[in-house]
Amino acid sequence: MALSRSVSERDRRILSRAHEKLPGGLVDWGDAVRALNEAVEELIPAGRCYFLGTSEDRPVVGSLVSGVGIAPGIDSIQLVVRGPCGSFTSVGRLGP
Amino acid sequence: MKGTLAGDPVRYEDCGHATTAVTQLVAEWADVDWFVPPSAAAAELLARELFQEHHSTAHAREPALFAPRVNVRTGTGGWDEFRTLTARVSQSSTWDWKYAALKPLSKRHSDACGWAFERDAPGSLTVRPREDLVIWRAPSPELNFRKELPETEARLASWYLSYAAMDFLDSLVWQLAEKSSDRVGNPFVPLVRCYALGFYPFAITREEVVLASFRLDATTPRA
Repeated sequence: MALSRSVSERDRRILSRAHEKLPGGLVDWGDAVRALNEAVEELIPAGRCYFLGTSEDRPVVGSLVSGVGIAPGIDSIQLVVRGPCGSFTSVGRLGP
Repeated sequence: MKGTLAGDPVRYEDCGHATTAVTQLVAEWADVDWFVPPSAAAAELLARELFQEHHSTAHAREPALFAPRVNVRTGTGGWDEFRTLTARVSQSSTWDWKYAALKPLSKRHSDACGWAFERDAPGSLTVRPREDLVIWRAPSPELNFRKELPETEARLASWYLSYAAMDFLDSLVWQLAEKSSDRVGNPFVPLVRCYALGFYPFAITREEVVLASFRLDATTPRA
C-alpha cells in the first residue's frame, strides 16, 4: 500500500487494518467502505466514517478530522486527502 | 469566513420529532462566521456561560468522563496563539480533547436511548454506498480557507473546523436519539453556540479549557 507522508500515523494504522480486511484482487467500492468503517470502529473509540464529498465526481468516504479518505478508482481504491481549500488530492491507493 | 451548505437544500423531515431541532441546528451551523473576532461586546461572558452549561450538563450525564468543575479561561490573540493551543491539544499523550470524553458521551447517550446509527439514522443525513452500508453525511458549509488565509493559517483553520464539525454532528445525534426537538439537556448545543459567538474551545486537560478568540487586528487576509 503506497502512502503519502501527508497521512498521519493514526490514519496509517486504520488504512492498514482496512487493507487487511479486504480480499485480494480487484476491490469492490462497497467492500472497501465496509472494511474502512470496521477498521475505524475497531481502532477509534466511538469512531465512524463519514461521507466527505466528491472528488472528480467520485464519492469520498473517510475521516472528518484528518480529511483522509478513499474514493473509487478505475482499477483500484484511491486514497485522497482534503486540503484547506476543500478539494481532494490523491496520495496513493488502498489495496493491491 | 462563512460558507454555504453543499448541494441542494436538504429537508430533514425524515428526522421525526427531531426535525425542527435538526433543521434549526443545521441553519445555525451554516451561519457561523469562522475565525473572526467576536461581534458582540457581551459575547465573552455569554461564551463562558455556554461552556459552563455544556460542561455541567455533560458532567451530570457522565460524571466519570467529565471533571466536577472545569477552569474556563479566555484567551484573545492571533494565529500564533491559535497555533500554540492547537499544538497543546494535539500533542498531549495522556489526554485526547475530543475522544476522551465528548465522543464517549455521545455514544453512551445514543446507546442509553436505544438509538442505533445503522438502523435509525435518517436518509437526509446519510449516504448508502450500497444497500447494507450506511455512512454519515454531515451537513457542512463549503469553506475555502486558502482564499482568505495564508497556507499555514488555512491548515490550522481547516484542522480546527474538522473537530468542531464532530461536535455539531453530535448535537444532531443527541436530538435524533432523544426523538425530540427540545434542545434543553443537549450538552453539544451550548458547545456549538460557542463557535457561533467567535470563541473556540480548547480542552487542554480534563479540568482546563481555553476559549480562544481573535483580536480585531489579528486576522491575516491573504496578500
